[in-house]
Amino acid sequence: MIIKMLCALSLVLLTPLLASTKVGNADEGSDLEGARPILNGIIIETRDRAATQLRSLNVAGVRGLGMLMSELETSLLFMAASNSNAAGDTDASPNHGDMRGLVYARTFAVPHAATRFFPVALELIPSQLIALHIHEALHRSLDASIREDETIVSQLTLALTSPDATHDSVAATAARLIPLDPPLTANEDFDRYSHVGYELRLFRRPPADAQYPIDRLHLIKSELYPFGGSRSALGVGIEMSALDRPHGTFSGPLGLSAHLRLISRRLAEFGLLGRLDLNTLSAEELKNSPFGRDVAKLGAFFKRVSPRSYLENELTFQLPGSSSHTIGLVRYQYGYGWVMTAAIRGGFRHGEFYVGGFTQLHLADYLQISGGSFGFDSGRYRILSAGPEIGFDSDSTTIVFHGRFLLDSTKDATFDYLGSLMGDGIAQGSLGLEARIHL
Amino acid sequence: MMIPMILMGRKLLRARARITSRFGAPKATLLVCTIFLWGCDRYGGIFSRESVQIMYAIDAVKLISPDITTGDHPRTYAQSSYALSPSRRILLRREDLLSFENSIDTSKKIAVELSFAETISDPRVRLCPVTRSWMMLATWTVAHPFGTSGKWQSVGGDWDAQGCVEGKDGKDGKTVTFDMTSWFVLQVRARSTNHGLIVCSDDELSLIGETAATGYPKLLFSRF
Repeated sequence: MIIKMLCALSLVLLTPLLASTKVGNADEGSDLEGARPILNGIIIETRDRAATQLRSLNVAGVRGLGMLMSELETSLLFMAASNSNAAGDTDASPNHGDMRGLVYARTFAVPHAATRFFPVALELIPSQLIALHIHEALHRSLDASIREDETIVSQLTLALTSPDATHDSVAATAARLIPLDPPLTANEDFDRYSHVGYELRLFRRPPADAQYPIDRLHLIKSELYPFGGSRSALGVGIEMSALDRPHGTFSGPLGLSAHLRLISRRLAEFGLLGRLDLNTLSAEELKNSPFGRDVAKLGAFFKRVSPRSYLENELTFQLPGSSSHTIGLVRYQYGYGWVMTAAIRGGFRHGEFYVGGFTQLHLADYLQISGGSFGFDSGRYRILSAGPEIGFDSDSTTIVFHGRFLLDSTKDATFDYLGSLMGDGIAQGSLGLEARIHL
Repeated sequence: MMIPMILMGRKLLRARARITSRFGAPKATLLVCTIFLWGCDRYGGIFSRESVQIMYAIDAVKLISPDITTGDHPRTYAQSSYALSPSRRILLRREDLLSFENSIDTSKKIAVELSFAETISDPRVRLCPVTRSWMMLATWTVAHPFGTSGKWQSVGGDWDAQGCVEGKDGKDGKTVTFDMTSWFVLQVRARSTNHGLIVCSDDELSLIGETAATGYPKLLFSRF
């Protein structure tokens, strides 16, 4: 009697330990303990038949289902030692479990995850197993924004396993359920914008009469996006520069920038930008030059990128400023008015290569110079420039070759008039080479 | 100065009263006024101003040469000496001249004095008025690098050939003086423009520059 009572008591006390672990699709996988790989049998056969069925529907050509075949055919299959009860709304779906609350199969909603089958799945008929294979593969292959949406996955499963399913019917269902331009999820694509790089600009050999000849500009730059949420990101950039002049190499201004992406989707983004070039850390020779000033710029940008093309518009406003330049015993004061700049950049992409160009229009208020008996006032002027760009853009690196050429200007203005060494450059334009590593 | 004039005025008024009684009021008034004005000029210097000779250093000195194409080349300014030649010229200008041109006595000579490193005789050096505004970034081809208005019409500088002045030897053999009174009156004062001067030499000479301790280019004039 006592032994029976002890056994009963043990069962009562140990039942919580013996019961199946409550798991969801994002569980710790404890039900894999005791699981054995499935190498043959009805599970493998129905997977092959599912693959054949999907191949006949040409799902690889359906937008949003490109990875489905791969996930179906390559996912590792395991059979759990015992059944598991449904846990959470996902498991409770008719696609995952039966009326008794036992789960047929589970998988992690990430690419290349394994699929775990439970003994109750062997009670299903082959057509149901085919649907189960397809359903689990959809959880892993769909876009991250919808792969855990049981309603969408179930409807797609139904469309793919329907007796009268055709390629067109599947494509129509996918077009309706899979968003064309889903919003970015956290950690997607923003990481790609963080980068560190080096840029070299060769200024087009200025006319011999340039006010401050500079041959080359070296830039070391980085831009990181540590702030913001899944739909917006605030990036902060730093640029350090060095100038090659006929008389030697000197440290240049320090550039600080900020990019705030207000609206960001897979193919397009809109945001605000700000830039401050500080003369504080430059060499004394640059401080005593027409470019020895701090330049502040604010603006907005809109960018749209597709697999075959890209287009970017940018509008900026540069604040007025001044600098001084002492030559011999004469001191000259340079006054720079505000500058409004509109730029259009676009091109075509082929794989990781792209070819394009830009055009830019500067409208400036004035350039005034005074010193001793000399005075100069340009009045309002404009500068029109354009240039090509050819680049290679992969997930890890970007290499760009670009050029800037002055096409037309009023008052014989050159880029010197703008007084923005790191921004617009100087003289008649420049050729540049930039290499970036994405972080 | 005012107190003696006031005291003299009081004496004149008393004298006028005595003169009036003898010659009549109009003659007395005229006589008193004449004496009064004479006294003011004699003691107050109102009508006969004396000017003082002043020497100013010329602060803007710029070398232009066909072989120097950059405007801020360090050899073209702030030097203790410059090499002059038929193809190397010097631009000169006292930058603040217009601020005190009204106080310059044009009845006295206004001169530019240049010194050379070597002893020279019969120097073939001319000082000519520049006719285009220039700045310290000037080169052989441009007066300033801002637009087409900055280009010299004639490379090497634009000047008024009619206004060129030949230099006269100084006593020490190394100094040459140029009488620029006409230039000052006709250009600086009459037109309120100061484009400076250009030194042209037919010989190869070494001009003492603006940073030398002595012998730097000077502007000599009399100032009230």
